[in-house]
Order: sequence, then structure tokens, then C-alpha cells
Amino acid sequence: MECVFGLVGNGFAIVAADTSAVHSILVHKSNEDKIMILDSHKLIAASGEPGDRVQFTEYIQKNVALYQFRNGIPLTTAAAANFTRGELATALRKNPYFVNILLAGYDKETGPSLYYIDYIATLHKVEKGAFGYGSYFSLSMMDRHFHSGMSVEEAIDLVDKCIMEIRSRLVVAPPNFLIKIVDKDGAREYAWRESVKNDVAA
Amino acid sequence: MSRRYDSRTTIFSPEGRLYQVEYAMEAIGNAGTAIGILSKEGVVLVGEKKVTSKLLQTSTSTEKMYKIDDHVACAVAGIMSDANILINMARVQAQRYTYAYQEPMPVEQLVQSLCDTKQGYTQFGGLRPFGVSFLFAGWDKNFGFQLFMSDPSGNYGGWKAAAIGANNQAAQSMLKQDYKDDITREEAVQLALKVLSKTMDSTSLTSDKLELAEVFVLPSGEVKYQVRSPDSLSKLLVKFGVTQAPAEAS
Repeated sequence: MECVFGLVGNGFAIVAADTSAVHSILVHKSNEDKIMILDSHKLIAASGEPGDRVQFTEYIQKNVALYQFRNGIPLTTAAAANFTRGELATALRKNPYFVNILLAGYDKETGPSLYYIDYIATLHKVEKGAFGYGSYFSLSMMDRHFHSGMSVEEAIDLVDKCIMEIRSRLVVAPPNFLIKIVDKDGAREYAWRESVKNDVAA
Repeated sequence: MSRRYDSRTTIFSPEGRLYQVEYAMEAIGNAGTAIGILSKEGVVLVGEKKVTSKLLQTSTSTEKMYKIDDHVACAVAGIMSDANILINMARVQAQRYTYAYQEPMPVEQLVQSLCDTKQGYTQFGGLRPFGVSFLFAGWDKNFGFQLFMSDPSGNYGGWKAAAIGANNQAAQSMLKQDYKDDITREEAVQLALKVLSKTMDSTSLTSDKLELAEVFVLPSGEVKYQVRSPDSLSKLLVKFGVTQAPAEAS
């Protein structure tokens, strides 16, 4: 019942993901961070098989870092997205990764962008996207309320509307969500949306 | 005395030299000169052709200049058959990068990857080094127009103006004197032709003894690699006054 969704606004991109780590009927923890900071101006929100999720996103993160060390310049968001898709595609017919990814980034020349990459190596550049059962609700809410060039306040309002729908309508809805944002100043955590408090940090 | 350290690429001499690499560079010293000059608006590559015959199909094949990708080209000096192998490797590398990242490969990364391959032939495998030097001319969005020179050792450097092949030292010192940082594309072409005419052995320069190519950006933003046709080249030679013997050149 993992929920991941995101959208592009005016000079920024925002992604939200639930924070439950689940094994069968047991919730291990409800403050698991599923949005990795890929580099200074990129975020990967990932959902899927927990082991694959961490393994694959760390692999991409380290390769992106290696590129920067080798070549002195960072990858563009588009290049990173295509590289990620390529890795999923190569592994697909041998040992597939069951990970769905929303890659959000900000490039100085081209502004904010969001890429939808699913586990069978589909790649789409999108303005809004979502994965999981929650997508039924978040995509519908975004279809209704999204418009191009939203401000941060408008976008957060839409994110909250989506979370509200997921909480009220999804049978095993995750209690807590984490929101991260990326803009010209970089990629960073924006806010938590908690309905069940966790005392111990991740 | 150094004869016993000649035969294997994979050993140093007592003086700390790699003789096979140096001998490879000797081979290039006998090849036709190639000159590259970087300007604000593009890069010009000029090469002296050694094989001149009326029977050569000049319109379809070039002897000195090759396109690696839409945004990178190179001029070669040395053993042509070795050059072909490396040019193919460079082309594959460029496409491999574009396949992975859906973007053109940055010029320096392309040069670096080719030079890493060349270096391998100086350290292991027991195979001789490639007897080719390259001048790479290209454009990318990170650093704009760039000119790189690489040699059989696998070393490379970024240059504003460079020369390889026969008389390259003489050409290089002429370039050093006459090059200025804000040189325009047309001035770069003129300088390249002038320097080449002075370093070439032949008494007069005609378009069938040269090749000239440029890498520049069209108004649409697209990067273009263009080899001058023999007619266009002849006109340029007349315009810049380099068709006469060196003594009378401007």
C-alpha cells in the first residue's frame, strides 16, 4: 500500500511518499524515508520491494556521484533519468528490480522537471505522477486541481488534498507522509504529515 | 645501448623512458601536418594531404578529417590504419554515451576515454602503441568550443591552437606568435592556412594538397561539421594570398 506522488510547480518540483516500512501484516516502522537525495539538485522517490528499493537507489546515487567526481560536472536531470531507466532495462530480462521511481530535479538551464520511471523501465517526463494504490486517488485529485506553474503554497495544498484522500479512502492507508522539494536552492526535506507519532528517529 | 629496451612496450628503460611510445611519435613526425585553431565562433582544422592524385575521390572520402559524432570531429596524423581503429572506437564511445544518457557526450570525456584506451597499449598486453596523434574539435554545452590534442602515450591536453605531424614544432611556434584570444572564425581559418603554407615542403599551395574543416554552430543552435569543397578551398587560398610560393606569401 505504498504511496508515492509528485508534481512540478513554478521553479520547483515536489514529491511526497508514505513512510511505512511493512512486512506482510506487520508495520516495522512508520518513519522510513523513501525519498533519497540523489545529488544537490535531484530527488528520487522510490516505492516497491524494500531490498531492491534501497539497493537500486543507492547504486544510482553512487554512480551519479562517480560521474561528478570523474568529470567535474553534475549530470542533468534528464541524463540521470535516462541512465536510471537504462539500468532498469538492462536488468529487466535477467534479474529485474521491483522499484518504481519518481525522479525530480532542478537544472539551471531548463528549470524543474519530473520523470516517471516504472519497474519495467518505462520512462516519461511528466508534470505530475504517482505510483501505488494511492495513485488512484492522488492522480484524480491532481487531474482536478493541478495547473502549470503552481506556487509552493498551492502545490503543498494540493499535496495535502491528495494525502487527505488517501487517508480517508484507502483501506490500509499509511498514517504518515514525508514531503521533499527541489528548486534552485537545492533538494531538501519540506515537511512531515504525521497522524501517528514515532518517538525514535530512523 | 638503449636497443635492449626497445622491443617491449611494457618495460621502462633505465632512464625512465618508454621507447616504443617515443618511436610511435617518430612515425607521426613523418606524416602530413595537421593544425587546429580555436576561435570564439568555432574550431578550424587544416591538414596537409600526402596522397595527392587526380584519381582520388575527394568528394566522398577525406584523408585527414573525420567526424566522430554530430558535435565532434578530429584530424589525424600518423599511421592511417591505426587511426581508423581509434576513430571507430571514438565513434562507438560517443554513441554508447548517448545511448545511456540521451545527450551528446562532452568532448573532454570522449577524448579522455580514447586516451585511456591508448594508455592501455603502453602498459599491458604486449601490443605496440597506436602510431597516431589526434586533434579533436568539438562543442558541448558545458564548455562551448574546445580543441584537444592527444598522442600515442595517451596524454591529452586542451589547446587554443595546436599542430601535429611533420614540422609541428615550427607550426606551433608560429601559432604561438600570431594567435590572439579573441580571434574570429575567419581569422582562424586564415591563420591556419598561413601557418600550414609556411611549414609545408611544397613550393605552392593548391586545394588538392589540403583539407580544411570547421566545427561551428548554426543560427538554429545546431552544431555543424563541414569540410570545405576543393573549389571553396581554392577561393580561400586565393583570398588569403597563400597560393604563391612561401617567399611571396603575405
